[in-house]
Amino acid sequence: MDDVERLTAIEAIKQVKAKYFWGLDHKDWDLWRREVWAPDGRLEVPEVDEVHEPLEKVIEAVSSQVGDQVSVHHGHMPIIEFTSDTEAKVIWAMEDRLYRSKEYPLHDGSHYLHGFGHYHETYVKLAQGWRLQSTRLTRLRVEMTRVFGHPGEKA
Amino acid sequence: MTPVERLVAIHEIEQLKARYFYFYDNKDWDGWRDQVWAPEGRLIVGEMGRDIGPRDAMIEWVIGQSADQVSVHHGHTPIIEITSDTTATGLWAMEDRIYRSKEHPLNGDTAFVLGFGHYHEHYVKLEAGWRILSTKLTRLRTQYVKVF
Repeated sequence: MDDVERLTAIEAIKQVKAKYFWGLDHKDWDLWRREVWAPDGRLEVPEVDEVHEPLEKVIEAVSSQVGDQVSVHHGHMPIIEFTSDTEAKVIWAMEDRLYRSKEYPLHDGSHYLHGFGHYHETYVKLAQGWRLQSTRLTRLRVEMTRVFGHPGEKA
Repeated sequence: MTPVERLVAIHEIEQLKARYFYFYDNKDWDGWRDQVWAPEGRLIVGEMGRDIGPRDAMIEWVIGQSADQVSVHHGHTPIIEITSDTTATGLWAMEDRIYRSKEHPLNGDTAFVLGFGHYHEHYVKLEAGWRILSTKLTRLRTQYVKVF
């Protein structure tokens, strides 16, 4: 890979992750399918003991979990390492906010999650371009907040 | 320097700062020493009245400061100027969160700091690659929260 090819690949990988965030926060699963993930994509979220693969299982799990939530995901400062001309390892710093309704709380009963951590990812270059092959989320800090009262609880 | 060489240098400096944050927030001090800083590296924190160098003494101080805390640092929108084939300056917007225990507060009673500011940095290209020569932190806003 020469310098221009490497810079082009870096930009393509950043674009894939930008579309990952846009697709997730707008629930645009077709974008995820078309422009973000490899067909054998794998999503791993250790904090909730979840591993999903391949891609159609990832989308099935994520689209059913998000329900009516509003989410805001930000990504920062990728560390990008090419392991071959068609494979890369990337670490992204991240911050996320999840807003849930009273009727559809998070797994521990809270309605607002504010978290910080890192995605540890692999990317692969397919015929259609660079795609996300696997992502594993680790956390530095997660804050869960209960916003709404529960039946039988004092306001 | 050709435009491509300049883009490569800019990318490598962005990678350098990404490693700075990742290793710091994960307390990987060997990575911080060997893959981030030049041996004569200096850290300047005006709000604490600190200007510490060279690298190894500075890292020793940082390790002591960071014990028993969780930190989250994010960097944004760098202004990078390549000043020669082997020197550059960078200005990074930053946001940080520091979480301390009840037993190990900051400033007497602060257990959570939320801050915003900029790193003003100088870089040097050594044989091992680009490294931080100095970084100076300035603040736009810092919120100190007593939690316990």
